[in-house]
Amino acid sequence: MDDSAMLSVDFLAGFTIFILALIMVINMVPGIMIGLESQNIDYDAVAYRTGVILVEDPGWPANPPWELKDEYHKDDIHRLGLAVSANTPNVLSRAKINRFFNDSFFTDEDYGQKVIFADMPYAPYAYNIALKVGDELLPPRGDDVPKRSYGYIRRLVKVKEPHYASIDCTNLVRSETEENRTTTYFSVELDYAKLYDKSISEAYRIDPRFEPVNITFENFDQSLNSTDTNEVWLNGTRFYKEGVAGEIPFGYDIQDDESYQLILEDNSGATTYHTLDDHCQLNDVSKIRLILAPPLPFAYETDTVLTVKMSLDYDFIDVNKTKQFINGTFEYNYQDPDNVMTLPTLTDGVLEVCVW
Amino acid sequence: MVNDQAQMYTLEGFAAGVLMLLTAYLVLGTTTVYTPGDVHITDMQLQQLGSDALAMMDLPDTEPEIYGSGENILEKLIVTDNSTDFRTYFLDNITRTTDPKKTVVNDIQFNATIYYRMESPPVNESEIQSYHFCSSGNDARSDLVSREPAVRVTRFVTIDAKHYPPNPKPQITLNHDVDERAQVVLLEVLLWRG
Repeated sequence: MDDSAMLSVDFLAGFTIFILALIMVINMVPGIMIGLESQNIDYDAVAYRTGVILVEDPGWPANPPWELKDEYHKDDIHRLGLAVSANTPNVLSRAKINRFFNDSFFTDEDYGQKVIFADMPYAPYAYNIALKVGDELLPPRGDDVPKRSYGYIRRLVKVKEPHYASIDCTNLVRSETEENRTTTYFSVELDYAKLYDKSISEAYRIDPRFEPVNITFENFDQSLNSTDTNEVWLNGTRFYKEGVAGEIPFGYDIQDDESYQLILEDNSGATTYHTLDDHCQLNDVSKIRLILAPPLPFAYETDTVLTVKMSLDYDFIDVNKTKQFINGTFEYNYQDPDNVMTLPTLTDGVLEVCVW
Repeated sequence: MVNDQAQMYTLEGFAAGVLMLLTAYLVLGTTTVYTPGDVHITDMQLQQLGSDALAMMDLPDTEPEIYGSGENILEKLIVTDNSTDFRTYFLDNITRTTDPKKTVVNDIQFNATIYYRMESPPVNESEIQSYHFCSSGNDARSDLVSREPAVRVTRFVTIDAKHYPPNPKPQITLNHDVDERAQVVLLEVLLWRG
């Protein structure tokens, strides 16, 4: 009898221990990766994602855009992007900004669900979203930034400022009449096909379907011949659409800031708000401002030609004098021979998102 | 014949195994793998910031075709070879913030190079040429040594000297022998925290 069997026991013991050791080491490998994880990485990633959604995405729904939803349809909004369109990253819409930073429209819960996407109840995020446009710092959304570490991203942006027309009435085409009383019309024509010019980047494009149209008549009182004008009245404002007979059915007699604002300003700077149906005396009015909020009625198609027609009643004093009044049609367009249009311009800004 | 040799071998093997196991456990348990955990995050932030800054400088504030005065500041600075104003604009962009307290580090250095294509390069030279355009410091070469790890951002910029009337030639042609034709150049900016 020799001792070769004893060697097999040694081998068996050693091999067993080796296998045990190997199993333990393999089990420990995931553990040694723990050191690579960092709490900040999650928050930085969330901040980055939020920044991308805000700056590069127009939000959802995009057409018609979410900023046109009212309080009752807020649940239809799924994502709060601020970009003018997906083709213009870093160019933000002023209308979206105004809605996003509106104190009374969205709640903290809305921001959490529609832009931070903190939809896991066990992992709520605190956040701070701040936007500065030019020198104007908008009231930040969320909480104050903590002193401890937080996820952070900074994005440089430009903000598309609104377009508007400022028409000096003293430069308007005047006509003459021999009648003592006369009714004249002044129209503003919005040809969507011309405005919706695809050769112009969306960053500079006028899109009355989704953007407010702002028309101001300046120096109206100076356009009157004061020695010969007894009274002048604004006798209603109406919308007309090419191809549709008669005026567009609309709540002309309802004052609604969400649809339009008709503001008269006198020489002292005092302003009064009116409906489009009101009869307003204009003798001492220096400015007539009409703001049409999107969407305009019956004007969703890109080939719409919409005319806003203001009716003016003049009552003259001297029957022997030649009477003067304003009338004509002004085209709200990029081509601007009278130099009355202010087209969309971009203003520098910076957006910062902090998440913790 | 029976002796105690086998028991000796078994005990030695067992002891050695336990030692190996303990050693492995201790070594792996006490080793901390040091990794630059957040470096890639700050790199990403810096890269995004630089990329945004170039994009914003390459976007006129007004529609050029309509107004005729929509000035592309990035194109203008390259054509006129105005590195001083580029430094001002670029630093103004990348240091812009809503609240300086939020930004941990805002001391950012950079170095910009322009790559362009020559239609008829000198013999034995590449069509693709480059020149140093601008840096955050006054001495370009001093920025290239002993600096922190940098991130790289690039932007293709369309330049047309006709937009900025040359007299007698555009500055970019006089200073760097870049062709006068309308062309696309590559602007490369290296960014690092100072």
